[in-house]
Amino acid sequence: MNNKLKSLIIYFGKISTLFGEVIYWIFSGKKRIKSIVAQMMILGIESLPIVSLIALFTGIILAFQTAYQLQKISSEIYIASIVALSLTRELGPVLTSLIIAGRSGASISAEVSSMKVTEQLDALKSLATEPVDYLAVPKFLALIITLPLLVLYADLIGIIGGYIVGTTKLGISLGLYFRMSLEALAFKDVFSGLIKAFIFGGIIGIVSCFEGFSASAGARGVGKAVIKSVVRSFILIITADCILTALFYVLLP
Amino acid sequence: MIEIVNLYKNFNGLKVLQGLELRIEDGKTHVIIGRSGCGKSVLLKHIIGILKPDKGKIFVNNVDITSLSDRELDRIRLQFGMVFQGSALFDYLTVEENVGFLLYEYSDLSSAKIRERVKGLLSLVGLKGIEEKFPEELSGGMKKRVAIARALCLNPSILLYDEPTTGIDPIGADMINSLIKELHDKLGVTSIVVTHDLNSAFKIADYISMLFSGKIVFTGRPSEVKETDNPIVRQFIEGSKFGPIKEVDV
Repeated sequence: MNNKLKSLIIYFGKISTLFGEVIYWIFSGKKRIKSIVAQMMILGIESLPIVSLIALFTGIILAFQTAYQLQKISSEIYIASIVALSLTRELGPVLTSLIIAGRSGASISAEVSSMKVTEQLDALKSLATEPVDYLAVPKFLALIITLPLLVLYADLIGIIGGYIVGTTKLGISLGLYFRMSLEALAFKDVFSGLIKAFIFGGIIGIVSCFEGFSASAGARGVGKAVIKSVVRSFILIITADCILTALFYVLLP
Repeated sequence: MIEIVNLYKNFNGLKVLQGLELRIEDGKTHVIIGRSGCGKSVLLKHIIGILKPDKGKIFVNNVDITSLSDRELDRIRLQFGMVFQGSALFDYLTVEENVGFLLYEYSDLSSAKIRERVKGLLSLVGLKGIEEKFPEELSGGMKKRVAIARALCLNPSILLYDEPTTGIDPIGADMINSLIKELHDKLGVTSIVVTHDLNSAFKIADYISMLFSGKIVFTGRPSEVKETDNPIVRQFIEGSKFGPIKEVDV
């Protein structure tokens, strides 16, 4: 147990160090706008189809489950508010982040670890280029910018999913459904979801780059790096979500 | 001049370099030979500052690079060009972007100027018309040449080659040897080559050093290496399994 606790502390120490280096290079490194935009396309925009699918189905499922409960008290009309609140405060940020951790985080750790085992990271250093500056910073920035945007998009698609159920099962009109959704939402609901997405984006960027940089040699090393990146991102996202939800509950009552 | 003093490096308890001492003269081609896994590449990565020693000093033109910060090291690294064992070309960049990497990253030169410079570097290593290709489309020998062109980009005064002929057919390997020699004669650079390919060593070296058990056990001109009585060197150049070097020794 002591050893596990020690490894955990060492792990947090190492990812905090990488986070510190990324922040340092954001301010003192070269501004690679083209690279950040390219990463936003690869890590974020190319995830739109899977994010759309999962957000739409989540909205539909959520509406059905809510309708099932609410019909017992004849209040099905409130599915719009409940779907909108659940998505923006919780499901939108968490589900989208888990998708991105599984898709884009895995791709980052595979790319960086392959570069490590083929000595491309050493080649960067030999060309007077720090891998954290050249590789990790654009990916980190792309994720913290793109993830909140993806979450906003997922929230909207999820609400549309809820509307599909609302209109087909309950006959709620488009205008009424969206009015009910908007009336239920306060600025803090959307804001807290976006803050979560911003932080989860940072977690995915740091964890996946860290696992790539720390990969051991060979194909197995790359495979292990990808597994660690996805599993550890999931754990940290859910842990951070728990802490942030409690924090917002206290700070933004 | 490069001077390595009392260099030690362990990896997870494995003693790789154990008090290594070496002097490399300016403008010479110095080949370091030794068995696979004996620490030759580790030594090379220390010389360019990619690895930090546990103990010891490395002087490059009288500057101890082991005491420099990463930023200061980057400035020193621009005096070096390094060719990695597997070429280590960036696989998501074209040949042109690989060779012109430093110029695209850090210079204000226009793309046209960089393209011109890349073309010149590629012709120096005997290649042309492959600027738009990706590394995966090239043969092992071509990759090596592109890696050499990339290393030459900023006219370095020191070139480091890690196993330049490994994984290439004998004819391709000989062409790489000729290229290393030709570049050395043409550009007057200091070249440090690590290899276990003795043909290559004898063809290109001004000096040859043998690395064994984490130390340099012999340094001499190729003719001296051929004639030495040193039992470790003799066993290595004769490729015999009998002698002071045992199976487990690297």
